Amino acid sequence: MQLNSDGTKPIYVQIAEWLENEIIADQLRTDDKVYSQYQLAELFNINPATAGKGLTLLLEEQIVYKKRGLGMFVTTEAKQMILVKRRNERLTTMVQEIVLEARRLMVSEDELIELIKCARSGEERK
Amino acid sequence: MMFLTTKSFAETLQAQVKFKLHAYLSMVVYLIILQVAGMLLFLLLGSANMSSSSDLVEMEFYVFTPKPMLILSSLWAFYVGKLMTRHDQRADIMPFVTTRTLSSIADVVVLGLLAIFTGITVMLSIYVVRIIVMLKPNQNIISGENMVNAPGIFIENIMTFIVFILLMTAIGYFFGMLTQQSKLWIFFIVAVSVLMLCSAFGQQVLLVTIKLAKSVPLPLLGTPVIASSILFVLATLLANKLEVRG
Amino acid sequence: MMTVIQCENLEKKFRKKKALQNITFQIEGEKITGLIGRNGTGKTTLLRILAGMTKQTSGTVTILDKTPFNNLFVSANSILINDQMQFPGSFKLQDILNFAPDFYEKWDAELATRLLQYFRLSPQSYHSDLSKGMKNTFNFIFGLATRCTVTMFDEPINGMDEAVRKDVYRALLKDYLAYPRTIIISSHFLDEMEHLLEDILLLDEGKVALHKSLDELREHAIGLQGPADVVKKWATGFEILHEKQLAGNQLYTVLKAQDCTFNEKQLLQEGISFIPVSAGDLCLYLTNTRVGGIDDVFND
Repeated sequence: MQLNSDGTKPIYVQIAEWLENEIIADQLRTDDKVYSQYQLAELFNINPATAGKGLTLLLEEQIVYKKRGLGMFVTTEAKQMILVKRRNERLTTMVQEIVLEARRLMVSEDELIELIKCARSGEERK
Repeated sequence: MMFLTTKSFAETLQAQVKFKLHAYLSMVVYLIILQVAGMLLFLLLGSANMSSSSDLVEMEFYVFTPKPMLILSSLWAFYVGKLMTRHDQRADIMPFVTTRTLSSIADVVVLGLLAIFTGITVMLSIYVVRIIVMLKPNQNIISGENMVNAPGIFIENIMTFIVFILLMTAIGYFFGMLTQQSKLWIFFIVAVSVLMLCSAFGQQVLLVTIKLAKSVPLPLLGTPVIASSILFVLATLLANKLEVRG
Repeated sequence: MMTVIQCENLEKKFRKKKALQNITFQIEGEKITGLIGRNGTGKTTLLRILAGMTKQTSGTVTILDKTPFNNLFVSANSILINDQMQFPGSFKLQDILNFAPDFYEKWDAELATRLLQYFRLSPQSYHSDLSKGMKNTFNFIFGLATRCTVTMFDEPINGMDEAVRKDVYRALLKDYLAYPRTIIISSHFLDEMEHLLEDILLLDEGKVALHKSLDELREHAIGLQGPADVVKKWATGFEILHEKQLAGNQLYTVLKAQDCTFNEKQLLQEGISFIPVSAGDLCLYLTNTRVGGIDDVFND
């Protein structure tokens, strides 16, 4: 993954999101050991403190838990929590943006819904 | 936990001396070139000036003065002394662990070692000249003492050379440190020396100083050694305040 | 965490001109700090004081609890790498590497040799014969291999081409991960090394403009863009760090984020969009002498 350093999103957030993606994709399962901050630093070519902050973010959200001296591990509810969170936060803001853009482009509500339906069915056909 | 290194003064001094000796190795090459030049100068000019002939006997006199070698070597010594202060001031000692005092002491040690080397090579080059002269047909060495028949004088001569060269490096080193403080010192020193030599009062002062120096109850070599030490100490004190220029 | 570097009311004058004033900050623990500022704001002077090359005019400075000027302990545990660094003219690179372990206990000869090889620096070449970029690459390698507890780089990437710069930063990070230590890198250009840094020390005209972690820096400002009059309406009452007129009567304004609680939805509806401010840009804005830019010079 390429990190984006133009300021749109703090790097530690991007790290946290990358780990979440790994969990969603089942690359990291329940009770798996998560990369340490040093591994992440090496992997993404970033300062370990930044990587550590990404991990702390996940720790606070109880997506990972800490075992003293051993590192961080994925919690049982991690995947579920991430999915819910993404739905709530990310999808909502994305939809907001879409609605806004639609208004700018003078796309009516029905047309927008139609577009979404099209996109969904197109996705299913693949 | 942080692992900090503690280097002892002596340990670092040793490393600095080794480092500086290596750095000034190229200077020794120049010295040898100068000394060879001195020898050639002596052989060419010396023989031309000193020969005399009468109707019956043709004789050539060689007067063995070490002057050309010594003058060239001491110019070199002055230059090296001054060069070291230039380095002191610039960034090139800073990549390696040091303090100003430590660096100055290392300089003095290195200059001392170089003076010893120079003194010995001056002496040796004189002997080389002697041998070359002896190899020429119809030559006799009149001037006598050598290391076999008069080891005492031989050693004394070497010591004199060494101390003299050391004094020259000390003057160069001190002069260099002064000019590092401010370039104005060059003009000041030149002006004062000219005044001293030209004015009657200045000459008087010089004479008295020389008299005083002679009257000090010290062995022959004592005075230059003390003078060198004073110059080195003063230079070190000056160096202690110097900042490395960017 | 141990305080490694501490400066209090540091001031440095050159003749009458103040190069540094009122510098107070401390660096704790094994962090990589970026010393950022425009050219001529005193970055080099500050580093030279920290390294004990220059003495401050007033104030105190301690490295590992000692005053750096003329201190053997500080000298043995710190190093400053810059492009004025010189080695004796008679030294080949290999000679320099050979002497280093006599002075630096933690010297990693293997790392130095490998990096030299990687960056295609011949150990048989002379330091004074190297091009500017290669000289700086060598100096960087030297600084890294000393593994000094306090390692300072003054504009280390000057003259290096882009590929080398990337490698150099990567090498720094990898060595830091393996051997954490206090590192300061100065640069007038933040973007390229931002990812390496934990903290930023921003200098402006000889003063500390800001000393924060990079993450805090991101929350320091927000950018608004939209129709000029609407943006101006929203921006009133806040400290404006930067303002730029865009095409089509659009205005881009960067505000200090302190207690800015905008209603994002409302702003969006009024046609204003939030433009994130990158750390590099923010540093530029914070050290600008005045609001505006080069365009204003040409405006009557």
